[in-house]
Amino acid sequence: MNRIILILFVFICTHSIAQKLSVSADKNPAIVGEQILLQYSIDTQGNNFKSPNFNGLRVLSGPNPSTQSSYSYVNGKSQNSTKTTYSYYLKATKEGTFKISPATIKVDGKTIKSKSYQIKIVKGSEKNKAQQKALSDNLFIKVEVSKKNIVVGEQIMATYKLFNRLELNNTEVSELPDLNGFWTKDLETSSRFKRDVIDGIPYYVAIVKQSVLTAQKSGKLIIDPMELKCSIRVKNNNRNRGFFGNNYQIQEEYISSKAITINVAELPNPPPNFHGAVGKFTIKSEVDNTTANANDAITYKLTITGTGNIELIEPLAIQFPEDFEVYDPKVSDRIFEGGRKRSIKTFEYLLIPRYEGEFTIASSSLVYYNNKTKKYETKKTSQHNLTIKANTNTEDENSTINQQIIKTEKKDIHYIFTTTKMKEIRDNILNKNLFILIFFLPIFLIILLRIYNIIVGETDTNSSNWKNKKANKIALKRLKYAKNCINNNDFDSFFEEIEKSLWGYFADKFKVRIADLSKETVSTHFYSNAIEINTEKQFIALLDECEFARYAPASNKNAQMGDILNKAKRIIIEVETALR
Amino acid sequence: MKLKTLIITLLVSISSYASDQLFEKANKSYNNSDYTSAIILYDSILTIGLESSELYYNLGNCHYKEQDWANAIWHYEKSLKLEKNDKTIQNLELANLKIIDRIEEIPQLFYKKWWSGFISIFNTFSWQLISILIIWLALTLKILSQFTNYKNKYFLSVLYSLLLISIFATYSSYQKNITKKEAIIFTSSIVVNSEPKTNSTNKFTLHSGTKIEILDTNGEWINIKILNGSSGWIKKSECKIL
Repeated sequence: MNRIILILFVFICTHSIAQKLSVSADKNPAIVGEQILLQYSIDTQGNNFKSPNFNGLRVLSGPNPSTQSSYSYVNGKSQNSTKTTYSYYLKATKEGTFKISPATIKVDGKTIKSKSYQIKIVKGSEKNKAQQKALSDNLFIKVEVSKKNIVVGEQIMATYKLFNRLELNNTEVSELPDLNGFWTKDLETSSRFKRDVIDGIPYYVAIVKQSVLTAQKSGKLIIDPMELKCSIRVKNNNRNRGFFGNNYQIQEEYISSKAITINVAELPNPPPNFHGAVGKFTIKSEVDNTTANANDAITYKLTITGTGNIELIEPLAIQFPEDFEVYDPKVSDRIFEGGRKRSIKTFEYLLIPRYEGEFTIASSSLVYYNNKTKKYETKKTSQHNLTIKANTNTEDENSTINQQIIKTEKKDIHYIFTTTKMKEIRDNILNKNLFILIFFLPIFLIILLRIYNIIVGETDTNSSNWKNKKANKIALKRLKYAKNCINNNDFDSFFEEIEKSLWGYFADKFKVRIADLSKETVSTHFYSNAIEINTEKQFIALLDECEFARYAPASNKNAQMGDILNKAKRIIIEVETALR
Repeated sequence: MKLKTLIITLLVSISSYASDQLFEKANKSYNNSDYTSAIILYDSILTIGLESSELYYNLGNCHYKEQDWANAIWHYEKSLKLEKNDKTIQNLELANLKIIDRIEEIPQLFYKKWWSGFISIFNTFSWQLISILIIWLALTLKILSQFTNYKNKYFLSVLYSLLLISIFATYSSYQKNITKKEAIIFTSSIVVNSEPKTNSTNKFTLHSGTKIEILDTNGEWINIKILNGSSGWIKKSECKIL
């Protein structure tokens, strides 16, 4: 029993060891500013490694995965082992205890979790502190701001300078300032170091970043710190120097500037037509032609010159004549130092006058806040009078439509009615019962009339008439070809056609097969359908007559043909009416 | 006070002449942007017992200018009941944009649209008259053909089909204008209940100015239907029947 438990225990142990994600650090506790190597390792090959959350510790690099495989063959037994390591380089910026949340990895579809890890960061020893101090004395960033108390829309210049006395290998911006609340325009800087002496100590100074900031809102705006990653060459103090006598090593240091608060004041009582221009400006307007033909383009140019937030100035509201077609302005500017030096901005409007006449482009004004005199100032453009002549080019006149569509932009209710005709308030309809009475009385009368007619039986004449008409139609249809023959004076085929039509009619009507057609069948069918004997006789007589006429031509053919046609027609009508 | 005495004195002289004068006076007040007194003057015509489509329209305009949307809509709708007019329809559309509730109307099928357009050419009374006229004309023709030799079958059949159309139109028009009761909600916000009880389930909320159709009445409760088809119960006092 005991043995079984032992075996089981061992089995579980080996199994769990094989699938453990272990975590370790090269130093714990560590000193502020020191580099820490944190490693996650597992004894198999895994994938989908998820980084932990380094609460407050900075990750310098990582995760860097590495895999080790070993294969051993001992006493005829082979052993294969793999080890995967994910390493991080961390740096603590302040002291305290930092808890690193567990990392996870997937092995054979299973998710394995590491333990959470605690790192204690302690203050450096005296020696270490001194080293740190020495570093910050010799390598630091300083922000220089041209002004600290400004108004909304005013511009300041912020310059980030790097002071250095060490052997600097490389610098890299690791964190850019956010500069919330500012409109930022970066200026080009040269990163070349210049020698500068401060308090008798020579430094190499380089401008890292220089920007013109335009305050967009009031309040305390913060120019937040900029951080640089510097690689410094440090002399190696270790005795066991490298084989090739490399007694320098690269040390990575992070340095950051201090945050600066700028007080931005609200503009005092802005006038209604003020649109945020701050600085000092002059304004000028030009028109290339004061006289032009209709449909010819005119250029109206507005130039703003001065210092301030010129880049943010929107096109002015210019009152162009209604009948001018105005296109969106072409904006061009030449800005120097973000507007801190005299800059120029031009708006070029393309105008197309559509009608002749005298027009004026009213003067427009630019209101700005002069941050030197602390007053609002207004600069006006000059007024331009334009003379537009009728277009002499007639071709053009045809192509352009001179009609204008009246625009109704704003919606409002229509005006009241001024006249009316009053009526008494009541439901303006006939009473339901009265309506039914008046309406259904005639219907009732019509029905009565109908019933009376049926009783008297006068309706018969009507329907017999209608029947006759139909019979006539059928006869005409049957004798169509025969009639054609009369029209064509085709004497021979006429009789043949008559005969054919009569026999055809008979066969169709009484459903007799062609083979059975004879004078006997005619009499039997006529008799069984109660058709007068007279009709039958006429039918047969007509057939005989046709036969005879075919071989013994008469003197007056046309008269004979007409006569026969009429006879045939009458017979068909008689049969049709009799059959109903 | 002054206006009250004015109304009383005006009420005494009930005549169409007086109503015309009142109308003109009210129009003048409207022109002077004195909408409150214009409303009182217009309303006094109604209290005399006279009405017209234009009167309701003008009242709607006054209420619109006073930004009393529910009243404006009510009067425009009332005006439309008497007579269709493009001005009124457009103003009503504008007023309907101002109210809170925006109800998606179920689109009508095209033939229904045509039919309702057709029947609104005349009012119910006219349709009734047209139907009666046609049926009596048909009767006269019938009698004429009976006792004389005059026979015109085609004309009679055309007349019969016209009769069929007009009687259907009369029926629809009657259903639409007389049987169908509509109302405008006047309370700023009301909850529509699922049953005519205060503690029943709340189905949805309506706001003033919304047009509703009254389906049924149960004591002080009415069963209503809105344009998108949903229905429920509200109290009668919350709305004003058109």
